[in-house]
Amino acid sequence: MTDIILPIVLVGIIILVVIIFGVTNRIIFKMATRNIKRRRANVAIVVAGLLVGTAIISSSLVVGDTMRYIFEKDVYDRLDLIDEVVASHSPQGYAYFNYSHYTILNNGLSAQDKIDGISPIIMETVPVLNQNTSMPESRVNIIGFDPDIDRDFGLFIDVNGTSFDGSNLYSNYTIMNQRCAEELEAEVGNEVVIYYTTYIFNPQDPMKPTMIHMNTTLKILHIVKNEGKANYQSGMNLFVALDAAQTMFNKNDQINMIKISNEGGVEEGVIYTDTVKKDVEDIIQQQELNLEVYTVKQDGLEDAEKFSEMISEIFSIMGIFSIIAGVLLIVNIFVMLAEERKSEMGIARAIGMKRRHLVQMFLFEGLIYAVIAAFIGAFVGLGIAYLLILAFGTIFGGGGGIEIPFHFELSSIIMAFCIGLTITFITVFLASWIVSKLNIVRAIRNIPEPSITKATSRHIILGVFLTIIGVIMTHIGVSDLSAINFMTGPCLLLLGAAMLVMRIISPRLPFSIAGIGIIIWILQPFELVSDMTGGMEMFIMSGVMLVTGAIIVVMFNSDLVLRILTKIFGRRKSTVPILKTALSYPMKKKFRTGMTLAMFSLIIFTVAVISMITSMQTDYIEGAFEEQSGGYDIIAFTNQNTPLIDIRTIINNSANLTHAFTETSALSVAYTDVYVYGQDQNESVMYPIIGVDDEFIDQNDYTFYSIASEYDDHQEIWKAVKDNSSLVVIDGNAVTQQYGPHFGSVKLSVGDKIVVRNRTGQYSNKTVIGILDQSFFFMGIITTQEFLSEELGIQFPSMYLFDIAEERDVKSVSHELKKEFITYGMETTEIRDTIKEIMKQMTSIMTLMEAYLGLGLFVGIAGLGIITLRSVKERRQEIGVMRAIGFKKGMVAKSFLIEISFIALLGIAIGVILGISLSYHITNEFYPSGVSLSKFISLIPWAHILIITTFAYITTLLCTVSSALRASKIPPAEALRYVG
Amino acid sequence: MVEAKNVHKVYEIGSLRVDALQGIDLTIKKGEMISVMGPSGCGKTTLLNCLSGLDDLTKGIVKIEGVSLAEMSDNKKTEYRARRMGFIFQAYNLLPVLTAVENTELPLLLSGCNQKKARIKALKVLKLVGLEGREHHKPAELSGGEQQRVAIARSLVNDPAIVWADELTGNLDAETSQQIMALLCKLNKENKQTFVVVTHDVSIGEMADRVLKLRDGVIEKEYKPFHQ
Repeated sequence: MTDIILPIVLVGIIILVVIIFGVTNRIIFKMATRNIKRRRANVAIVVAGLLVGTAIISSSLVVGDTMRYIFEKDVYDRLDLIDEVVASHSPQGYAYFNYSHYTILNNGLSAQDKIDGISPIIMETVPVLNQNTSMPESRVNIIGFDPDIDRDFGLFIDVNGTSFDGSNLYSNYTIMNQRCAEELEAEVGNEVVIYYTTYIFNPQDPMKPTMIHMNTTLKILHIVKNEGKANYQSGMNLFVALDAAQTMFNKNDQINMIKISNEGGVEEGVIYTDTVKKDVEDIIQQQELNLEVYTVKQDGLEDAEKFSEMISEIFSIMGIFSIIAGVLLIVNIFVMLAEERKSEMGIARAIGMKRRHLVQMFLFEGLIYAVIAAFIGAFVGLGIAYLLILAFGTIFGGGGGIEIPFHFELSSIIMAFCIGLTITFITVFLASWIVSKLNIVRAIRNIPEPSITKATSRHIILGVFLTIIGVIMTHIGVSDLSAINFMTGPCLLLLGAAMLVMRIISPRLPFSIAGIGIIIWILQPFELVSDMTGGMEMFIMSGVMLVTGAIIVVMFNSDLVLRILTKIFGRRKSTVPILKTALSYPMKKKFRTGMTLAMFSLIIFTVAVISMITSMQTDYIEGAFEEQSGGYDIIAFTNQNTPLIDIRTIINNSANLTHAFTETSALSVAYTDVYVYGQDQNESVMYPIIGVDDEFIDQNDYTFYSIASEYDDHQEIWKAVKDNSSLVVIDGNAVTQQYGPHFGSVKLSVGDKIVVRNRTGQYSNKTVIGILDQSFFFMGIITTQEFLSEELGIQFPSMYLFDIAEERDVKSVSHELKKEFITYGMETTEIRDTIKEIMKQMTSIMTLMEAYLGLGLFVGIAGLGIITLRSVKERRQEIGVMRAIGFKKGMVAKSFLIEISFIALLGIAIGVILGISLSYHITNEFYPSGVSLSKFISLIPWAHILIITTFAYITTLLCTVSSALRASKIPPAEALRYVG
Repeated sequence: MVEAKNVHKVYEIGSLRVDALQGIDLTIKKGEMISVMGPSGCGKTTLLNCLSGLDDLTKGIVKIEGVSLAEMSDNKKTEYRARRMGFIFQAYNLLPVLTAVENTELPLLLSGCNQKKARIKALKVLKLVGLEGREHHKPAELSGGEQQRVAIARSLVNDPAIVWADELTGNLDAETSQQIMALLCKLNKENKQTFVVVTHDVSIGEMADRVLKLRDGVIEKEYKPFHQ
């Protein structure tokens, strides 16, 4: 709620100031309100145009609300009353410690009134088989608990709704949650077998412990609802008595986790986390216990907040184009309103109205539009967000779709209203300030403003300002390797220089050079920014700059455009007068036309870029397979509690699998703290470390996003990793994209150093010499198995990559693998099918994004609608003259329609050309192996682009055709009499 | 009242240079009614705009009530116009969203006059120009003559020292033109206000105390009409 106080205060101040002005200048306020009533038909179009920005903001905030709600609900559901966990982390997971540690902590915290529960447990994830149904499940959580102590964490609720604490749970009996029961097709009374491997360490050779495979049979005593503590980690859970678990896992008098519940319920307890953490840490330190406090709920909620903000940000950043288009529309609307009332404004100034009075008049009028538009827009955004969430459900729910709970906060709607209103108001203020500056005589007599042929002092000031900003941004770009500054700086520099040069020569040449220069600079084929840091803002900036450059070139060479078009389309004598009048008007009203073109081009540009990327993705399935698969068909993981020592021997002895594979790689996985060298150690993240075997190094075909320059090829990279444990390769999630969002937890480039914690708590540096393209199937810092074994204590592999023999079916082999290694909890993923599914989801997301961006089209269409309405009124007398000198009704209508078509089609052409050009750039950024120009051209989704642009064009015509027809039907005499 | 010395006004439209006024020297006394006449494009309206401060001079000095316009800021000029000047234009130039009385009271409100007082004064002036009963009509609901009367009322409502009228009868028929001009003459005599009337209509122009004839941006001739 505190987040919205500032915007509410800001909007309150704006409205209050305007009301004060209104009360003190009632006549001005009266004029403003009557101006609205005067052009009622325009109000609907103006409001429709203005509300898009607010709708975009509102929808992105509400999508964020829903995401936050889902993620937070997930945290509360899976942790229930647990707020903190005390454990000892090891690279394999939670390490065991003596039960006495719990007693020490419990005694030490007895005076802490912010804790209402502390319970010792054993938690292991193991494979389980239902003996009655023969249904296996590879990852079931076995939770050993003490019913007497654990009562503070709530009760179990059986399927009949009866609550109990589990105190009747004897050895060899278990309580199973419904999720697990469904997977195992289990019923009360069934018997399940738990597979587990334990080690007996040899003091002479601690690196080679003896493994003992164990299994235990448990009878299901209760099946309980997936609620409260039974829903722990939203997993498949089996609850056993603590002493039974200790016996089962051969961990007498040991536990591996202490869970803590803070004072308050599921959602309230987290507020005491910092206090509780400090108290627990004090005891750990005083008693020298080898334990750590994990603030699981707080961290989960923070991650939920971060991720939902990120999703919201993606939508709001993508929506910036529509917001910019909306801002241009507002400026255009007010410029046109000012033109319409030019002589009124002139006379008002003549009889004593000051410039500020004119600004106030527009502000009153603008504020009324803004309030209506922001109010409606905030709720329209709610509707858009609902549709987006519905679409998300369809995309991520596979064939049937999933129901994502739609959720929004009132504060988001208020926030959207405030931001939308503020943006509109600021734009209205600036537009009013611009239009209020007028020459009284020219205004009274409605004489057009003379075209600027030489820089005025204002141009010089602006030119100097832009030049300085341009130089500063370029400098920052180079020194900080910031792509956005490096790309924007020279563009501003070019614009500033053009303004200054205008003092000496006609503006046409310098601005044409600046416009072309901007386009070339943004689309430059040299990889100048490839080593720089950029993000989604690069997409926004590129679009804005490219469109600015193109519009400048077109508008400063309008006569040339006019000549070319007249030459091309004016072959028939009868069309020449229509064409000339139709094309002359937009080129005469340069500001208005430029703004409208910019609006249209920007939106079409974004839609073109997204549809290009979608097309590339659809086509890139084979490339993605090559990048993501590494030449393997199946990736499999076994349970770390049931390690496989020699998978190859088992495979060779299996009748169904012996000839199924051409390659098999076994990799070890550990989790440890990692941070980027030079950053604070507190910023470390838990990141997987993958130890690879010789087979992997010799056989894998993983492609690289980038490799260190001192290595010639992939073989050299892998050889270096094998020979030198300080050199590593990292997965593609670490790559920073120049034009897209970053979802990975670390951002790295080749040559960067990372710091890795070993099992004894010491840190060592590793240098990244290669970054893989692979990002779908695993994350990890890739090093040798020796490093994992020596530094992280991981002796056995738990990740496997299989290349299937050509004659074998991947799906059936995958099934065989699961069956064969069921007691090891093996889970398999068929790589090609998964890639197809991921690519399908990504394409659906891009299509969704395209539809979202398409909302901006309404801004462009509304803009053209307003222009046409205004043009018909503005030219009423001229229409009379045209009709008097021989223009037929149809010719007048055609003239208007050609004019609209000219603006719309020129905007579409600029948008499409620039969009496709930038897509080539982005595509090469996304896919470093690149695509040839001919391949790229073949990928342009012409049909798709044609459908969208035709829709935009036809909708525009439909919105404007009635104005054109009305113009053609005005009787000449009436039109000539018209005085505005 | 008004003193103009060596007034020049040049318009530059691209490469085209138009010398609209070429060294006008002129003095207008308080309470005088003068008319500026001449053919189209001779600089009549430009002279009025320059003298009244609506447009800037290229060269020369214009002093009104002893104060040079060039020394005033835009805001000062605006305030001065609101307090001491009245304007009447050919196209009436009333604000279409305001009623006759609201149009009339506008200059008073802009110069900070109390709303109630402004309304009383506006109604009084509208009565003076013969628009009693038409006060709450909007311009679109009034005839051309009535609209011009509202414009006159608006120009007089703040008791200006000087009223500038640019082709005020240009859109009216002969009879209405005569009535309007007679009204101005009456107000001039009764209130001792200065009137500068730009017109190309000789019958209207010669109703003034003094006539200035302009040609190509210079005063070609100056005379007192026969009725004097």
